[in-house]
Parts: sequence; structure tokens; C-alpha cells
Amino acid sequence: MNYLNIALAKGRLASKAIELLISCGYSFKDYCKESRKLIFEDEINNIKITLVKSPDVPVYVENGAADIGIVGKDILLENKYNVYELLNLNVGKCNMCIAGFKDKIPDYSKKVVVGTKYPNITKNHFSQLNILTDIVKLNGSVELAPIVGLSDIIVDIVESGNTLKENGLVVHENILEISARLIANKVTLKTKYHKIQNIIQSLESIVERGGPDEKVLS
Amino acid sequence: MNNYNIEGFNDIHFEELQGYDAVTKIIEELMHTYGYTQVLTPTFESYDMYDIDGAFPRQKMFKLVDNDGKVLVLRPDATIPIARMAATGYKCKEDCLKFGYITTIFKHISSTTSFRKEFMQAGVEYLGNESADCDAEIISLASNILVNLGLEKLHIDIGEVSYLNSLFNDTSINPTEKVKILNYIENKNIGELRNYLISIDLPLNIKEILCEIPMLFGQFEDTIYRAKGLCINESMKNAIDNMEQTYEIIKNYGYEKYVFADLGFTNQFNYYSGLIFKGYVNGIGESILSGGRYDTLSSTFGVDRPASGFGINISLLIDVLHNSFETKHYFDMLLMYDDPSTSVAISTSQVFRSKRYTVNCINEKYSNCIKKENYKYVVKVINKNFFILTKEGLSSVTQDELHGLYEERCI
Repeated sequence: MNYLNIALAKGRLASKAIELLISCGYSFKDYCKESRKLIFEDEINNIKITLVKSPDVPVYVENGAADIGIVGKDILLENKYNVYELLNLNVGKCNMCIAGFKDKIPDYSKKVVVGTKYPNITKNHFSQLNILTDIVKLNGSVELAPIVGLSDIIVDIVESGNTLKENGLVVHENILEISARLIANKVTLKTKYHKIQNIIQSLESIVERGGPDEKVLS
Repeated sequence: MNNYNIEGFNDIHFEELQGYDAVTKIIEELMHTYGYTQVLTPTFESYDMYDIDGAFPRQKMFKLVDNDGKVLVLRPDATIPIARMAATGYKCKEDCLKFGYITTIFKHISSTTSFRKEFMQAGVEYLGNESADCDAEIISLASNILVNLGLEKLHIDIGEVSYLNSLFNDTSINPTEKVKILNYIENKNIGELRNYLISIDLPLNIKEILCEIPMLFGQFEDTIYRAKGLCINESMKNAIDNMEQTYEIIKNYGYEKYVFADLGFTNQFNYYSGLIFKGYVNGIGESILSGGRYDTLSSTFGVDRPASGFGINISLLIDVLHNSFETKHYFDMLLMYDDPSTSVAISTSQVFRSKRYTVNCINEKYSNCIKKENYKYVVKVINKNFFILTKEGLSSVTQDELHGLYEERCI
């Protein structure tokens, strides 16, 4: 009856994470990408997956609502959580970038206005470089900020760069590489160690091989 | 309407305060049974004292300036002031001192599970004893307290800061590299640790050991066995021996089933110098108990005296215990009277009170929002006649029958 609870960040990362878990040998019968279900179980191995919004993954794990979780490094950098960050899974890779208009690199000797979903990461980056900033915290469609004049530049996650391009922006600079991480609750990592250890080891070997096995997935 | 609440600071209402009373009573009694005397240090301390060797992160302290321009802080930790107090009050370094405290701590913290910036902490400091007996007593007392409070899923991890620190003894690692490595180990970030170790210059055998350390935790004896295999010098061996000895003594207290090992602990406060431990309950990632040995701290106050201690976050504990406090029958009697009965009702309640019987005596006009379940008996005085509220409804009682109630209790 002792289930291992895994919290996954909803969306693109969840399907990648479930692919990883499936290639570790777990099976979630009722899972398909289109499903609106939020909880999936592997009854044979006693594993339960919960899909939550990505910033909530470390919150679930920290409070013991989930034992382990898979979440992007961006979330872990933006706020501090009392969790163990065990592994870099090398999937869901993207970059944290400074972007803006192609021909308008701002004058960094003066105060710069930055639009972003990640105020802490932004603040840390620019204060290390001794650049003064005003940060406009936005919750989505950050690309709009320079277009409507809310900010000079933006700091956001860029995967393909298509959204930027279609809105007439370009990447000025990559500041961080982001990828999915395996995190664990500080207590249950110890109390449910044998189960978690199995997952860590299988995930580790998959990461070393360079990704999930296509054959197993099909 | 203005909102004058300050984030991180709470009012404590009656029910919660009862929880605090119940918890602190148990803690005070237990500390007493182990021979600790209670002390209190001032709410304000000197900022400079907390700045010694970067003992405490500056941004976490509440600071203010007094009339002379001296910078003060609101007590951000209880151990440093008690070490100071012990050093100034008891100069003879052979003195063995056992202090307990229950006090408020003020700290800027940003965590998702704890929003409190002012919280209650209970703890003990045992000064002048450097043996494993002392550490074992401290850990056992902490377990005893948490078990007595009814916390079942208790998990205490023991580590040794000198184990990891001694690993770097004969290397020429620079401090920033070391801090980075320790951070990765603290977060058990194996992946990043490996990547980072590739990029720096360290002997290969040390790199291999460093990669093992994050996962060096679990069942005590088994973990110690694995840790022994990784020792490369005497001080590492001593650290492990010390942990083993402490564990053996804890067995005499009978709390070893809650005790586990974790060698991946690093020095969270700079003052810890040897054995350290953290306790968790109910799977919450924030530790409820933390403590350890700080043998060098006292010498900064002029008396070279080894010491060890722990602190328990009572506020977090109350949140965890949340619903387990009984508020029923907090008072003995609710006495409600109508206007003509004022004088007889008041004189009756005074008689009861003189017998230490708790009575809330109130004109029935104002009794609407009183929670009747907090009272053992509800009595009404209508036109100088007494009625008691029972399951069946109001029934008449004589003064004598009424006085029988407290005598009944006295038996």
C-alpha cells in the first residue's frame, strides 16, 4: 500500500518525463497525451503520478504531498525550496535568454527596464553584472512587453526561438541553460530510499545513454 | 480601513495559545527531569556579536539602531547569546552547565512551508562536556520531547561536519570551490557535483569519495560501515568513531529507532564543529529539530569550553499538531443572569472563585456569542432562581446542589 508519489510539471515536460519513466520499465495504462486525467497509477510497482502546474512541483515535494518530482531548473532557480536536487535529466532543454529588438541593444550603463516571468533570476543576473534594472513581472506572453513599450528587453525561456521570431524579436544573449531535474523530499528520500534508488539508477543510466529508448516507447 | 498586519507576524488566538501552553509545559517538565535549568537572554543583542566569523547570515537578521548609534538585532538565534551568557557568568572553564530555554526567535526566512518571521523555539545548551555522553543525552532528550508530544513519524539524521571537512585536509582546494562542492552535497545534487568535479583540479580518489557522500545516508549501522570504508585519514576515522559511540549510548535511552545517519550534512551555521543532527516529522521537508556540537564558539567569548545543544521550532510543531488540542471545558461554569439577579449571581460566582473554580459570570444580554461547549456547566439565574442546563433542558437547582459541583471536583 506504500505508494511512491511522483509530481510532474504539466505540459510538454510531463510527456517527456513519463516517456523516461516508461523506459525505466514502469507502465501507466490509462495515460495518453490528450487525457485530462491528473493522476495515473502503476499498480504493479505501486507508483502514482500527479500532474501539477510546474511551479507547484517543488511545493508538493517540499511538503511531502509527493516524494519525488520532475521539474525545470528555471523553477528551482526562481525560488528556494527545501528539497534535494538529485539529477540533471538532460531532457526539456532550453535556454534562459535576454531578448529584444534586433537593432536595439539597450545602453547597459543606464537603467534598463526588463519584462519577465522570472524576476528573481533576472535580478540576480543583472545585479552580478552591476547593471541597474527595473523589473516588470509578467505572467505570460512576455514577448509583447518590448512591442507595446512596457520594457526595453525581456528575460524568458527560449526553446526553438519561433515565438520570438514571429513577434519580431531576437535573442541578445543566453544567460543560463535549463533542463529537467529530479527532486526529492528531504525525508521520504530516506524512508522510501529503496524505491527511489531504483528510479534514480534507471534514470541515470538512461541519461547516460542519451535519452529514452525509442523501441520501448512504441 | 487600513490594514496594519505585517507579513510573517501573527496574532495568536485562544485555541492556538492553549496549544503553546500544552507544548511548553511538556517541554519544560522534560528539560527539568534531565537536569536543565531555564534561562532567558535579552530580545535585543549586539549586531557585532552575530557577525563574528560570519556566524549568522546578515540578511536574515532584523536590525535596528539604538540612541548611541549602536546596531542591535532582534534575537535571530538562541545558541550564541547563551554561549555568551555562560562565558560571562561562569568564567571557570571546568564548570559544566546545562541550560534550557523557550523563547521567541526573529528571522527573515523565505520558505514555502514556513511564513513566520517570529517563532517560538525551545532548546537546551549543554556546556563543558565534550564526551559522546553529552551528545547522546541531547539527542535523546530531543527525541523524548517529540515522542511525548505524540509525533510518531519522527526521523532524526545524525552527521559529522569534520568528516567532510577532513577530506580536504591535505588538498590545496580554494574556498570558493569548496563552498560550491559543499552546496552540491547539501542538496544531494549528484549530477551537478560530478560535472563540477570534472572541471576542477583535485586528486582522483578524493573526487570519487566526494561523489559517494551525497548518498551516504540511511540506516545507522549500515551507513557507518560504508562511511568507514571511505576514510582516508585519522580525523575522518575519529568523526565516525564519535558517531558510533554516540549511537551506542542513545541505545541506552531507547531512542535509536528514530536515529539515522547522513554524512552529507554540511556546516549550515559556521559555529558547528562536530556532530550535528536534524529532525523531521510527518514527511515535512523543513526540519523541526536541529542542533549539534559547537566546541569553538565559547572561546570567542573568552572561555574555551566545549558545548552541544539543540533547538525545536515550536511554532512549526503547533502547525503540525494542529487539531490535537482539546479546547472543551476550558472553564468550569458559565453563569448567566437577568437584571434582578445581578447581586445574587455575582456573590455566588465570588464564592466559587474563592475555591479556584473558573466562572464566567455575565448578564444574559451579552451572552449570545459565548461558546457553551467551552464550559463544563451552564447555569442560568432567572429572578434569583438557579437553573442548570442539561441535555433535557433547564432544570431547577438549589444553591446547595450548586455548591456540590465544586466539592465534587475537589474529591
